[in-house]
Amino acid sequence: MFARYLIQRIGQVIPVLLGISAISFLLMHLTPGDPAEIMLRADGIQPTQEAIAMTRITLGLDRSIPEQYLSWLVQLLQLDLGISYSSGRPVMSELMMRFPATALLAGGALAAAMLIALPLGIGSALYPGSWLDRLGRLIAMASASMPGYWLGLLLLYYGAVKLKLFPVMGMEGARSIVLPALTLGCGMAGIYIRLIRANLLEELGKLYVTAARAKGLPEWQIISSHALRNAVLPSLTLLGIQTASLLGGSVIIESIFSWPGIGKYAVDAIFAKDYIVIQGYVFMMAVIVVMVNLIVDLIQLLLDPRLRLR
Amino acid sequence: MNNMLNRSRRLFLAWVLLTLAIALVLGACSNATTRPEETSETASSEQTTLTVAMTSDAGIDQLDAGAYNGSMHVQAMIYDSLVEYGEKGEIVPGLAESWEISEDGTVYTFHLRQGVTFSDGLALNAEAVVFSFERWIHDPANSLQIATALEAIEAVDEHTFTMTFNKAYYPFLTELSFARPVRILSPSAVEPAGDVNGEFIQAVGSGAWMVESYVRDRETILVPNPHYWGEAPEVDRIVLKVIPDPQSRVMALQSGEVDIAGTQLGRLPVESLPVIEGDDALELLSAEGTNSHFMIFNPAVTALQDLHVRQAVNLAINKASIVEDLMDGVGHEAKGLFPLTVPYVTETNQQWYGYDPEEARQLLAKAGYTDADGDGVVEKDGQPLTLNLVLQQAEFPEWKAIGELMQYELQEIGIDLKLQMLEPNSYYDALWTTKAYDLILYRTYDDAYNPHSFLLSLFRKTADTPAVAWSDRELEALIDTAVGSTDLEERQATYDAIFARMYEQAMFAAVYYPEEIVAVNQRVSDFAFGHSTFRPILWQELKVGDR
Repeated sequence: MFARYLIQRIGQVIPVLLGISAISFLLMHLTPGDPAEIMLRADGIQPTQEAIAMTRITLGLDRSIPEQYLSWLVQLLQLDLGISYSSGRPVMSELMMRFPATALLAGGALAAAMLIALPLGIGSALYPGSWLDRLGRLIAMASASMPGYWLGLLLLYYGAVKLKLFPVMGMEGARSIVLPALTLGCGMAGIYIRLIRANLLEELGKLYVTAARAKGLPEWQIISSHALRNAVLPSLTLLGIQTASLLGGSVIIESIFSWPGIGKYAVDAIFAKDYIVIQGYVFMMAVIVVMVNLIVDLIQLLLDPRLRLR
Repeated sequence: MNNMLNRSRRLFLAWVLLTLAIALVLGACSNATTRPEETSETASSEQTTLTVAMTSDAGIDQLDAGAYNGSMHVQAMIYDSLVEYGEKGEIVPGLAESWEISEDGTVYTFHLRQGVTFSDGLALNAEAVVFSFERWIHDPANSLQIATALEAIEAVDEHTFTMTFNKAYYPFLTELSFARPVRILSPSAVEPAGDVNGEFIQAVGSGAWMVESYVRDRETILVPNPHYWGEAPEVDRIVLKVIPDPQSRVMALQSGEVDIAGTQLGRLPVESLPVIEGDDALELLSAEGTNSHFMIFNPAVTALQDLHVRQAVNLAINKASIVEDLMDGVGHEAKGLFPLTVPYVTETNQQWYGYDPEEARQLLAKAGYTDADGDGVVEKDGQPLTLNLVLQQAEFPEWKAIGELMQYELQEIGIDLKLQMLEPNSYYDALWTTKAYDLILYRTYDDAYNPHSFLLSLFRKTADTPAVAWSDRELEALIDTAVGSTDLEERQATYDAIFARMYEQAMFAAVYYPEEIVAVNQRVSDFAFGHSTFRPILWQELKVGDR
């Protein structure tokens, strides 16, 4: 039963991936600019028509768009995402090289967001109207309205330049992840503070909580294994979406903190019109989004027995 | 019930305390793990290490002397060229100690420096030089004149070789001073060694520096090449750190994590310059650049075919105000297409339109444009004079402010300027292909491409396309004469005529001369700017003191 569900879900993935890759391939070719010419002009010399024509042939751009797409698909079946126009490096290994840094940062950001949101969210629900609740509201407001690059630069200035607690740049040592993870985490935390507070308050007022109390269950057990479990379900769905976008990398945060992740690689490819890299990136992102959604659905199945009955 | 809630509150507090405790322990652990790094850093600082900020990865694993991959700045540190680009484009000896050019300007004979070896110990002789060129020079995807006009390249003896071309072109030597693909690499840099079609495996040259270590997207460490033929550098190690964000480069300077930031290795943001100036530990240095920003007129636009209109646009722009008011004094007032740092540009042949809105209005009136309906925009035959200016912000953030200032200034003389901000690909598509603009902001190329290569690229038609910036037959003929001239005096006279012709016809609108800017901390002394973009710093002369 469970295995059938899983196979069914994975089966749905293939047409989705095909559709996404075909659309992105087409869109790329509709935007202005010839990759061969961009590549040659990047060298600073006025390229001759012959040089452009030769380069188009080497890059395979002289073929029709469906032909190019088909050959890309055939390569994909061999797990080969092609060779980048601008760097001449294989896209698969380029993406794989950068992915661990992005995943690490995503993990750090999620941890930071939860470290901020869980205590503040739960605290605000337990002490509504208190200073803690007001603090939670303030932080939620700041988190939603503060641009990430500004917070990043502030943290960098005070944390690294003034107090010298953390390095300004790079991914070296455990301390280097603190500031970028905090920057990303702070931006996410606000919404969870409010979500957890609202949902937990609602759950605590429900009859099953009263019943549990009447039964004499210890309060920590009521909160942790009954009320909280139900209260985090809406947050979990949102978390799935945000995790997927975190795994796509953040060009601003990666640039500010000199973090060698995937976001900047993708944006550079867009400016260079490096079709092959963009295509590989879009494909990888599609796989990630689908996978994360699947995982979130599975976790919800575990947490919510009602879903399992359906 | 109340009791219950209190218990849960206590539980919550306990949980918060526990989380804090865990965070503290984790923090302590991370401190412990980073400590060994710090000690190694202090040990190496006695060895005079210089740390420099760079915008992007140096691409050492792909740094083939004969290709366009990786950082050209590092390419010029590892590999030598036959000749080097000196001050104001003077060609100075590099690996070639001397050279002769045949009477007709087509045969170049180079005499190589004796006793030069690559950093791997192999001898650098005529055969190695020919090998280096043969690897790329016959590739039709190459647009350099030394490649397209080459007839033969031959080693004559151990230290002599010749290059024969099918035409005379004085900038052959300039092209040989480029960062790439003309520099010489060791036959052992390819696999199989010495095979012209071999695959590049490692960056081995005869330059002053060689690679000690490299981590993609993070850092490159260079050390002096023990076999180097020239003066040995003063610094024991150069660490090139990848810091993509300009603001972060400023902070890395402030925190002392880098010693040098700026130049084309990684530009400093103009808005941060006061911060750097206010920091006692940092010093801000500047040098006149070799490029300029200017505005191209679309020759297909009827209004711009009128010389008076082009002159009026020029006179309406306050070039001094752009430097003083917009750029905080960084840069210089534009007085033509090329600043004085460019070869063949002199005080006398550099002549351009100043700022005179009154004269601009009169010129427009002479051209038949008057504001009959009093709406502030002049018109001719009932058509208002509206022009669209295409520009981009991604590569040149300052263009937005400059564009807005010019919009105001042109409004003052009755021209309605519409700004059209495009993303870089659309911008270049408009510039090179669709020509969907009336005016477009552009910049001249850097150093070694000036003035010949830039003029050929922008003001000279090719076999199948008209000139990009402005079509003028007289100018095109002059450019051909200049680049084919083997006589220095004749060449100078021709360039004088080129600049005069551009001025007479107001073929473009001068806008702004940028500046090279660098910030160094107190450890660094004897800093000197290089003469070309790909060698922004004279590395050999730098000295580094204690932290």
